[in-house]
Amino acid sequence: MKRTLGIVLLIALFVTVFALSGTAQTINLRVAWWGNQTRHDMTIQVMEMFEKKNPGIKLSPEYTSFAGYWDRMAAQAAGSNLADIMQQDYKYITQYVDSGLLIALDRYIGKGLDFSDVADSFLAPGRVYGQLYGINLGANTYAFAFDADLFERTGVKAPTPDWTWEDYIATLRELKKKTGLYGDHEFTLCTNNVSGLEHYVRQHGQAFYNAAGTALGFDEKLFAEFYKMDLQMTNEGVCAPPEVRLEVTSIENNPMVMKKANMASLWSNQIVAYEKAAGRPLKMALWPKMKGQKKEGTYLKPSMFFSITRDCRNIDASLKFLNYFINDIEANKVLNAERGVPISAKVRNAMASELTGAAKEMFAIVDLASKHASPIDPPPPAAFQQVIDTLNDVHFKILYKVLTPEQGAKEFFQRANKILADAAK
Amino acid sequence: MPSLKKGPKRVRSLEHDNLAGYLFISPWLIGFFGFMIIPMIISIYLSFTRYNVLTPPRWIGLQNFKDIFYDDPRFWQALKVTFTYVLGAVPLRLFFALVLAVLFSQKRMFVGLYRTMYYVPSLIGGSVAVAVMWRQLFGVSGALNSFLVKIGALQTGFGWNVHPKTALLSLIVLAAWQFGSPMLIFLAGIKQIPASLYESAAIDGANRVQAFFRITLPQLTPIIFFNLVMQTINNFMVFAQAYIITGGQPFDRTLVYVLYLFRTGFTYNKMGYACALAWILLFIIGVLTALIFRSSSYWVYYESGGDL
Amino acid sequence: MKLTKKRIRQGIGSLTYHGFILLFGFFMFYPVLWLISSSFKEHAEIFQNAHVLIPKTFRWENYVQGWRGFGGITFGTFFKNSMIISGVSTLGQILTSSMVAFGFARVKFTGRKFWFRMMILTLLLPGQVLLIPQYVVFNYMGWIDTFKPLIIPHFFAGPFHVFLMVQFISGIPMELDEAARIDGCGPFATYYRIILPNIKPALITSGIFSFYWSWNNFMQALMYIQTPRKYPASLALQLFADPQSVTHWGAMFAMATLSLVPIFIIFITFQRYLVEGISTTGLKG
Repeated sequence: MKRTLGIVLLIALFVTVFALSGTAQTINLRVAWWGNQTRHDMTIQVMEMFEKKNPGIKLSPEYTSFAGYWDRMAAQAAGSNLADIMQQDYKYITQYVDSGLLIALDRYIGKGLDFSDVADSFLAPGRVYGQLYGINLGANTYAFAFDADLFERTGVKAPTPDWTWEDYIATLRELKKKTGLYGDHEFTLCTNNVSGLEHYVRQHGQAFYNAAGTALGFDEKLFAEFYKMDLQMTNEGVCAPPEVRLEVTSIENNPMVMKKANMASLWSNQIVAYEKAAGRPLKMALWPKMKGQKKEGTYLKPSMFFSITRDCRNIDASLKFLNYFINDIEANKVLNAERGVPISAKVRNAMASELTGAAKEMFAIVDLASKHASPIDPPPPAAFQQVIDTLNDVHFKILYKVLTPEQGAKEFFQRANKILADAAK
Repeated sequence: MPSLKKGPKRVRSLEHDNLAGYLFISPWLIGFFGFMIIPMIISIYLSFTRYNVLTPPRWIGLQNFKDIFYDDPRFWQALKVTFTYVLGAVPLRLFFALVLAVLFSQKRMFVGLYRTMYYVPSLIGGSVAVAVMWRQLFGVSGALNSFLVKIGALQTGFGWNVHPKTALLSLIVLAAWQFGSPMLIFLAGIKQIPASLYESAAIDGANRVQAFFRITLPQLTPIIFFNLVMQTINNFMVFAQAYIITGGQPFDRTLVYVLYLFRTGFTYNKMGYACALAWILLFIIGVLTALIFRSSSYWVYYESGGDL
Repeated sequence: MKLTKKRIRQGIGSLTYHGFILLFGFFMFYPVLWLISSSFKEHAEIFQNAHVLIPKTFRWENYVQGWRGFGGITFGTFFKNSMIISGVSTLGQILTSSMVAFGFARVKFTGRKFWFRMMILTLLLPGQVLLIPQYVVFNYMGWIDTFKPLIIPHFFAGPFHVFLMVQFISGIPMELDEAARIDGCGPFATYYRIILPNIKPALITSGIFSFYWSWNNFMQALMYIQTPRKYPASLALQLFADPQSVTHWGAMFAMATLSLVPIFIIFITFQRYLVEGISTTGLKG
């Protein structure tokens, strides 16, 4: 560690000397992220803009798709060969911190990192054990998406921010009756995803995992209640049967996009992609509240982070880039909030006037959600993916009527608690 | 051993030559020691550890193996799925491959075109394109269902590729459909059979069917053996198709072994456990392969050699 | 009279043959047609008119958008990388595998069976668990982010290819070797002059597989290559897909179709070497 620091300092010294003497030695930084063609193009463009402004720094992009990203990063970690800056995810960041792979950034705030326009609530989710390891690249919330004219057309009462589960169910039924299409193909995000259940759990003032991450943190009966509602809707044909749900693998074949359902649940930054895939204007609404809820179920989640890794060869230059990425207005205009609503108020204000369509809707829903949200729960324990797979397994057993919701709850709790306990050993 | 007809002295000098032998196999030996043996030893070591890839491994002795055998229903489920898959896919693949190779070995019009037509599907193998397409064919509103509804066999669409009863079957059908590689190997094998054998059979008045059973089939046994061994190995290790198309769903009905291993190692970050799973699989396939090798002396006809 | 009857019978036979092959051929080939047709379709049409093979309009833009690649690196670069990797490794593979196969099939030496079994054994370990250890080894050698890990191992004979060739060599009568010996050929000359020409079908088959596997190799490229300029096409193809956001299906299918072309050409060119043999037999049904 000391030696690396020494080397870094030495290099920094050389850089300054060379810079002063006019023959700048270039610093090379590797930046890794996942995404699609749009994100790759936009990010690379911003990197080039940055290089133009900072002639001494050369950035090499390393991009992949999401599926391969974590496999590659794991290999790089094993070889002590991590990219200097890596995109991180809320679900993975704790594991990386626990393994000592990321660098705490607190001491650079104000010295390299300018967060004067960033509200602390945006930074909070990037803190692990009280230290800042991830810089939030965009705020997100889950929501419903639907055709902009759906409620005028059908005459069904449009959702308000204060609507309840009862209202939601009534709306789905009415939509099904009026249009013949599924109200929603699933009951909030409940297929292959814990978010729907988590939302319900949070409304009861409980958390999905216990504080230590060694067991589930909520009552078994909440599981049964929630998936009973889902099953009821499925039996009525208001939500889609399991085989239809299993076939949904991308935004392009989402039933709402394909006009087989009226609504879809999504993360707010996905609205741009949904609207593009659907080819028609969409609007968003918040998820329902619970009558007599203990706290708000909704929360703001960082869509993703940038983190500086242990193997970083030049922290100062990395900070410079991150600072640019967060605070520069021109850069963010290029990035177009594709990673979610920018965290800098200055950037948001500058972009607000130019927003149209889906992007405008995204800014609006995040703003609305911030008024109806409670703070996000801590990142899940490392075994989260195994828990999600178990949930999924049990969920389909319920939908295919192999198990009742109560039996499902029992099986899920047994298996998930065992997984979490084993992982903590 | 037809070569024994010659004088024993010459045969011995031909057969035993350590220098030449090791020289010839040296490329593989060097590669084995250079690229294989260290990763293999590491993976054996890791199978006795708890290792999440991000932090250094921690020695836990036989715990992984104990957990797998006594405490992991998904391991047994994966084994069951994989055996079913292999038993379905291997015979179907070999059968189609052999029949079509025989049909395509004849000199006829368009035969080159036909071979391409039947081989190319195997080229799009485990790509994302196949996954999307397979869903379009066998999905709820897919082509198969439109057809079945039209002829009145079904009332509404049925999710062939996702329903718990048929999901694995749809993967087996996919495997049977991709018989291009063994077909190509059979073709090459048939091509190598000396024409003189067929000529003398024709003189004896054998018709095409008789020639097939008397000449093609016995002459082809080393290649059938090869395809049987390789298909058994490859189908035990099937991964891409299940990974891309079903992801093991619904509730692990299509969780093939290597998919489970991959999820354990890379998705759940339990690389030590995954290594233990890998060595168990090696043992299982090893036993089966050894059995096939054992059996070969009863049914494989070698022109020469064949004592490996 | 007899002759015409025979002709008619042959005609019917040949009609059944072609009819049968074409019918099944359509089912076999349907997915390829589907892929090509989808590569011209618009986003939504791919999913909504899935089993209509003829697109409403032919969107060449998919090819333009796909070829554009990412951040100024076009698919021209990715295909070039793939060509280098697959071409060179295939050559190495055929050359070394045939040597090793000859060693196992035709030379007796101490430990022959043992090493052959070891070789088969390496086939039985799922490659997925070797990815991380191999990364560590390649990283140690300084090979990460170069083509080396994707090419050089192929110069050390692949078990599949060796086994395949061993089986073909064992179909060649030993008398040929002995005749060569009497003419004064050493083992190397026997390998080069007698065995190699006689296992051409196996070499071609092996080459087709080797090229194709290397062309499609995604996982190792993902692990070992970092710089996008060095990505092979197999890896670049995956970059279109993002289940969390827009997947550019049209562009992806367009490039997937293009990526089939080289392996298709290789197959067409070499498959004709796999037929003649029997044609010269004059065997009539």
